[in-house]
Amino acid sequence: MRKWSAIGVVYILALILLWVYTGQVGMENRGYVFAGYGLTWGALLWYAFRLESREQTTARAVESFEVAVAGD
Amino acid sequence: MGFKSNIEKLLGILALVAMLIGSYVGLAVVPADAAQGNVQRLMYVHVPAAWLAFLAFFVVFVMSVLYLIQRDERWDRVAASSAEIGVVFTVVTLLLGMMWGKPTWGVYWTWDPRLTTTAILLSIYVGYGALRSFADDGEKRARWSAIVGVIGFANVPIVYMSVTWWRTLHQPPSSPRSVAPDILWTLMLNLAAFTLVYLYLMVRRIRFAKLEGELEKRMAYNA
Amino acid sequence: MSLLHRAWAIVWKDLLIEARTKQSFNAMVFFAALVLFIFSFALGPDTELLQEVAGGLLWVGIAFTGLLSLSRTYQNEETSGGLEGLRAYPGDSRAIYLGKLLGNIVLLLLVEAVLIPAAGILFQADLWPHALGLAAVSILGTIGFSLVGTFYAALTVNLRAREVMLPLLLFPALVPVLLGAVNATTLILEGDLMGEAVVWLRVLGAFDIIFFVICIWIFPIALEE
Repeated sequence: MRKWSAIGVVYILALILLWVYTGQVGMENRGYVFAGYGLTWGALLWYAFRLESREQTTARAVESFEVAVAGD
Repeated sequence: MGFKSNIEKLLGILALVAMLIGSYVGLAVVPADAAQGNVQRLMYVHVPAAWLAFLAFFVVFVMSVLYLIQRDERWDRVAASSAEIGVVFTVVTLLLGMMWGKPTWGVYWTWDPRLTTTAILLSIYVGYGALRSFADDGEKRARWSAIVGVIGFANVPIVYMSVTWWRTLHQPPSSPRSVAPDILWTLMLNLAAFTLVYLYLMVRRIRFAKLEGELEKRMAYNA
Repeated sequence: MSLLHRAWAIVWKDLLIEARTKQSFNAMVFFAALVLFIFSFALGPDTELLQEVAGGLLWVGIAFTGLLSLSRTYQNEETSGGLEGLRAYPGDSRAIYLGKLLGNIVLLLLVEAVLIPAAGILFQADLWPHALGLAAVSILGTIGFSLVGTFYAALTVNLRAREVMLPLLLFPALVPVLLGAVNATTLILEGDLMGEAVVWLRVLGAFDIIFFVICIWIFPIALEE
């Protein structure tokens, strides 16, 4: 989970960087470009995060069954 | 096991690096479009997302057909994984389309053929996901979603044709010849990046599906 | 008994039950009228506006009304514990699909026979000069709707939350039918100076043929135990 906190921080830093950059180069419609790229990365990262969480939850559940059976 | 998970990690890193390069080039390296300005940069993520979404749903279709013929649960797992990832890419496609549409057309949404078909595609596969969550029995779930997967995809060309007759506002598809080389190779770069992302997510999602299957079997056995 | 024989037996039985109880028919007509009224109130008394959107409103009404009866397609068999019995029928289960399909088509067409004139009155649209065109749209659209509807009704019959799942699965699949029917109806009501309605009728026809083949082919898999 710490890994994902770190990724989250990097993501936000990257967003800040992107916002600053679009301002620096005087990009018109910078809000839309920023939102577009930000959402794309955000969505993909969020999905990867959710996938890993689900994996861990299910893996733990499977394990608990093994323990239960072994303990019979 | 070690070899497989190493390949997986490598794929993940490749995907991440490719995406980083792709976004960097799209945002900072390639010059802004002469006609559309900087908003056109959104196309470098919008178009690949759309293509991958479509590819993902095509995979669902093929896997659904294979499942109905062979009844092998592996095909079902791949289908379900591709459908879920396809939905993510479709949502991204639609959102990016809106981000591009507002400054360009003045509106977030129009009822043009490709947008509308994409929205319908989204509702088909959200339905696919809902169907799976409401079916408890593994075999029935696989069978019914395979049927929906086949019919849903078969409907897409018909939907697209009907909506095309209905409205036309979307960019006419540009042939590579009329597109500047800069734009083209940036597009290809991002397409490769998105494809790597799809493959990586698929590998992980399919593994997860197998794990879920394990859990279900154990729960059934111990019930 | 041949496929058509058995299909006909099912249609006849269902229509007979319906004719006696008028359960579905009455409910559908009432509901359809309600929908039309609500639309009229929602859009206001501006006659011109109503006439413009009459085609769309009509088919939204038909779609919702049709949905009402679809979820009960297999109810006759369910309540008497008969879906199992249906499955045990010797021979091709496709007869079940054909029979239920025809039953749904007939029922919906009968409702439309009441609904379309009612829409004409409410929206002040003169329908008689366009009767032939309207009939064509009505038939082709209803067939398309019933084809996919009867199929998905079977698929969701044993599913939890099927009242939600049926429309959720059905409506994306019905987009070509709705587009075709609404556009053809609107064009026909406007006089269709450029003969565009025929294009939409062809879309409907193509959809009907394609999905008839697909649905009747896959039906046994949907009904498997």
